[in-house]
Amino acid sequence: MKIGKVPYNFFKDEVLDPRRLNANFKDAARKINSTIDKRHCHSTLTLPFRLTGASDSAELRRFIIKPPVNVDIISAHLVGHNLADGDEYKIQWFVGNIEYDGSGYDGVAAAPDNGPSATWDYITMTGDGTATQEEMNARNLRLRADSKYAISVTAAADLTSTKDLYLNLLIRTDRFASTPTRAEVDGIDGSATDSASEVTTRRDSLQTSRDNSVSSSNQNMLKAQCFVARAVDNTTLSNKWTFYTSGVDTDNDTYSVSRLFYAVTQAASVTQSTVEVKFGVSTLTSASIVTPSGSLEQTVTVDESPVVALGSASGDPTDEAQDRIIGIRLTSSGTVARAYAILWTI
Amino acid sequence: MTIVDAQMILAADLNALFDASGSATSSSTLQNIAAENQKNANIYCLNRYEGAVTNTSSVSYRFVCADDSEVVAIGVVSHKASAAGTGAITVTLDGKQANEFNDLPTIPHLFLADSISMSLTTTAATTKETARYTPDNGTNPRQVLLAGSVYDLVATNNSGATLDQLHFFITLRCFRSKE
Repeated sequence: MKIGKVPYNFFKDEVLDPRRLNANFKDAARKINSTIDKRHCHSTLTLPFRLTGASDSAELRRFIIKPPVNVDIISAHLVGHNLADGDEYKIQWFVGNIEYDGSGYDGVAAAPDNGPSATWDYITMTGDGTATQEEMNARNLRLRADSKYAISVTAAADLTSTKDLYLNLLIRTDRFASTPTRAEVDGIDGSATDSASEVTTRRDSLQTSRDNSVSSSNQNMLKAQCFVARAVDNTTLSNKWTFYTSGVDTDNDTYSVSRLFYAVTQAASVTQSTVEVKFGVSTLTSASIVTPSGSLEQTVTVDESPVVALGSASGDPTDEAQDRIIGIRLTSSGTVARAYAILWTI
Repeated sequence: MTIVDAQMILAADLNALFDASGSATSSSTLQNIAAENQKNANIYCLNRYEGAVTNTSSVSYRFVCADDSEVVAIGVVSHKASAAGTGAITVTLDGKQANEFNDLPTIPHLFLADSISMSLTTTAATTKETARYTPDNGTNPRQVLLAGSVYDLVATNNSGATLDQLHFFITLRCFRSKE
């Protein structure tokens, strides 16, 4: 990381040499532009397939992703634990109908850009009997803002707490809400009638570019986390089905939660249930969705954008009291087959 | 050649932009552009949630570091279902020579001065208990994870009881990149 030293310092009442001045201007512009060029940030979204049965319905083997801004998936890392030798596990981008609402499908999963337009095999892993094995796919895919995408697993055998499989998606986002103007790299002429004005104009221009390059309003770096619960019942929310994630650095004063996207997959045996999702910092703020009645397994998704209750500027990742909490449970009797929440934060 | 009338500009005006103000905390000078860029670097959290975890069993989470990163915190949260046992849940972070990739060359080895280890001593039943590892300049050394290297975060339940829930995570600060 560069430190902002410049070639020359200036002293009060000094007669300014334009060559020294221009050397400083050019050096400053290079540093500013170097910062502007560092526009990408990476994070990892982990999708766990733990406890997914080989004969589960498609709804139970699928994650639906809806990013709030355009994101690039730069690679995927599939990790398996204790998979039996010869068993095949296939991860697919699913393109087609999703979100059965009891009477019909009301959602469609799109195909990521730069990939096939129909359902396609993303990564396939064949178990080799070892404790840990991995596969990667470095294909660069783009997910568009507010579109829904679906990733599903086809498993040769039931996935358990020990025979495990999870997918790490390495996500790249652009921190700038809009492309900032790069700093002017040429020197000033110095021969203008009002050279002082010329110097001041350039100085102010550089100052503006510099401020823009580190502006808190340009810290638009999206991160995603996924939390999954199986067989969710109506246990007291504070005791079970609660997820924790650390607060965000206090230095980043623009921290906010962009979107909480959560989905519930209802088992066929449950005809209607009220699902309560709470979130917050220390104190959970209530929200709830009601899953539709029906006789089929079905998935309902909900967006919360923005989720003001989750974020505050005082987040501190080292302070347990600042942990973000998400809780999911039923408020009626019965069991929801699966519930998951994908938390997108800036 | 000189800019004759430019001397009317106070040197301090220019130095406020450049780096001679002498203020290490000024937010307006170029001196701090790198520091500010770093301050607002990306912080994100990798997490692993588990349901019931029996005594003496482990849960591992393997990840490839997306960028050069600094460990900000490691956390563990447990809910214990029964009253039995008051042992510890340990969480370790270790580098891994990832030669298990079936069709890929060996990933470069980690840069991790020491493995990170922390523990949560459970005390009571049916309560949420948490512990946090925060690197410092003392007994908990700061650790840097390298982009492309593989790390294992492993939680082992030696509390003496089955956990109703185990959740652990690692929070990383990574720096921006051009690619």
